[in-house]
Amino acid sequence: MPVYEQSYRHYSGTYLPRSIVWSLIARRGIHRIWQGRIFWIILIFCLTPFLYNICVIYLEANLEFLENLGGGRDFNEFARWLKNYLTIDAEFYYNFLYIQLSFCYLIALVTGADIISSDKRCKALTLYLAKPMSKVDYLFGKGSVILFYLYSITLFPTLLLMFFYAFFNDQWNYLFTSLSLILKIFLYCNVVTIPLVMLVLAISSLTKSRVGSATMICVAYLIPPAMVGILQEMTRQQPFMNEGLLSLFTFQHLWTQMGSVIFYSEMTYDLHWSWHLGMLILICAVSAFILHRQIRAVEVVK
Amino acid sequence: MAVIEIDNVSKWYDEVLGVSEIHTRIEPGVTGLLGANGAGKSTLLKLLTGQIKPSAGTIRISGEPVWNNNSIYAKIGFCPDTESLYDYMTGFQFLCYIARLNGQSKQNAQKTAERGLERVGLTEAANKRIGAYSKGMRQRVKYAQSILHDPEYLFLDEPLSGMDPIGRNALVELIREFGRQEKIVLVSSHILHEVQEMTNRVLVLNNGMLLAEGTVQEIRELIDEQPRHIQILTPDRQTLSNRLVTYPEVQTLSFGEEENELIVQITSPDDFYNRLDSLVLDEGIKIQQLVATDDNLESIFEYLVK
Repeated sequence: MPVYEQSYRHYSGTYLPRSIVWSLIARRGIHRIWQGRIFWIILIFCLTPFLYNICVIYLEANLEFLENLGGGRDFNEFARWLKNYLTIDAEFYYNFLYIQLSFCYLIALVTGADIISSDKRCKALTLYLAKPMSKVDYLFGKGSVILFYLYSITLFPTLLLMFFYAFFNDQWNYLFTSLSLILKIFLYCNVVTIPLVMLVLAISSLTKSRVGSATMICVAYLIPPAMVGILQEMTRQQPFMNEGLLSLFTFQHLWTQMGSVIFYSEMTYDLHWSWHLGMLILICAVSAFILHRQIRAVEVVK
Repeated sequence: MAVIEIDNVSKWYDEVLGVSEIHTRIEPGVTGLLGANGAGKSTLLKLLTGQIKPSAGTIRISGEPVWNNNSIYAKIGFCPDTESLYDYMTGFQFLCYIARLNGQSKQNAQKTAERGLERVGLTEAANKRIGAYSKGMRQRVKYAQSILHDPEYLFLDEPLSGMDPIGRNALVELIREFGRQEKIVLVSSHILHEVQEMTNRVLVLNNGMLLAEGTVQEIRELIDEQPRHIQILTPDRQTLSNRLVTYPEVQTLSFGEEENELIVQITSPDDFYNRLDSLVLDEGIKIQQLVATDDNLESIFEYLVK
């Protein structure tokens, strides 16, 4: 049918509140990544410590049963040793999260490297910016995609571990008596993920190339620890360049320091933790500045 | 009445000038935005759609400032000049997504997307990935996304580029229809006859400045001091030329390739046409055809940018 024979019909439905626009961007992004087979393999790989820890919790909950099996003296001694070894406390969850940190970068790389660069490549930013949504809505939607997947290997499995502990031990009040622990886990997960999300968004906004963006994220992950390692060797005798100061320059050290403070109220490095927190805030601020400059409707060619 | 008021608007990108001191008013109907590449058309459209903030001046749509105004954004439809499409999505998925971004519920978005595809003749290609679309189909789906939410203000940046003649005619008709609904439609192009097909009302930009505005005829009057070329077909070519050379308005006169063709370069067209009327009536000279060959946008644009 020739198109000119059709006339306009007004949209008569209702409009959704503008405040949820970001969630549409987030859902689309989450759905798109979810469809990737390689991503699934990576996600399962990143969740192997979680599966291991479920087994640990199960064992811990059923040790008495194992002891009662009467498997001989050696077996009982092994069961007692296991009971001492398998203590499910704040340290258990912190250790789990600490292991997961090494996977965070991998997940951020896979989910975030192309998240804004693909829009820049398709020149689709203009579609978003001409819609009734703000730049913040757009970035919040995009950031939520990375955050969701980072949570899926940090916050969600940790909370699930707590759930499994309550389930295997049939102690549902454990979840209520551990509210402060849940709060610590939530706080630590955000200290880890939010600066990482901001950094990855900023890097992704700097280029139109997926490979370029992924390379920059790898550089941001690998180069600082290498540089710190070299500096540590070179300045071993210099009192002003101590380990505490150098710990400000890598994500891993920043997260370790913040984790110690949040979970144990003590510091791993001899520099006050407020410096580390300040550094994480600085990373967020610089990333926000880059995003402010990069997310716009025009590219200036001089 | 809906109206767009552009009040001394300028935009610089550091030292690069986007547009400079644009001052005009756009009323309902289709208005053409003309200019060569780099004239500032896209910058002006991005300012009007609130994608970028003016460095100076204000833009108001129906009395409300555009910049950072979501209630105005909700009434705007924008078709960018760049591709701005996701190749991995199907046409239907893309339009659904855009409709959702416009604030429609999932069910409504699906209906709207179907209607949008139908409107631009892409129903059969609805479930094909955009990456497999031809250039013309991509243009159409891009246009469809701009009108999905039935906007009151429609801004189209080079909407016809890359389209085949049939698709072009259909899209021109759609745009004109939108204009007939008393909505504000601003269409940019650097191809002048494209704009002339859609509207007689134009804004002409050059080097970021508004060179002229009005109807094609009004602009033509502005440049009346420029000589105008008239092609006359007459069986009395010799007699007519003998008379015309005596007129002060006639600057040059030449014979065309056809044996009855006469080409005259004139100033003061009104005076010339009055004299020509008298000549025909009083002396019985026959004129078969009279055409102002440069009374089109292309010629006007050339004159204006000189």
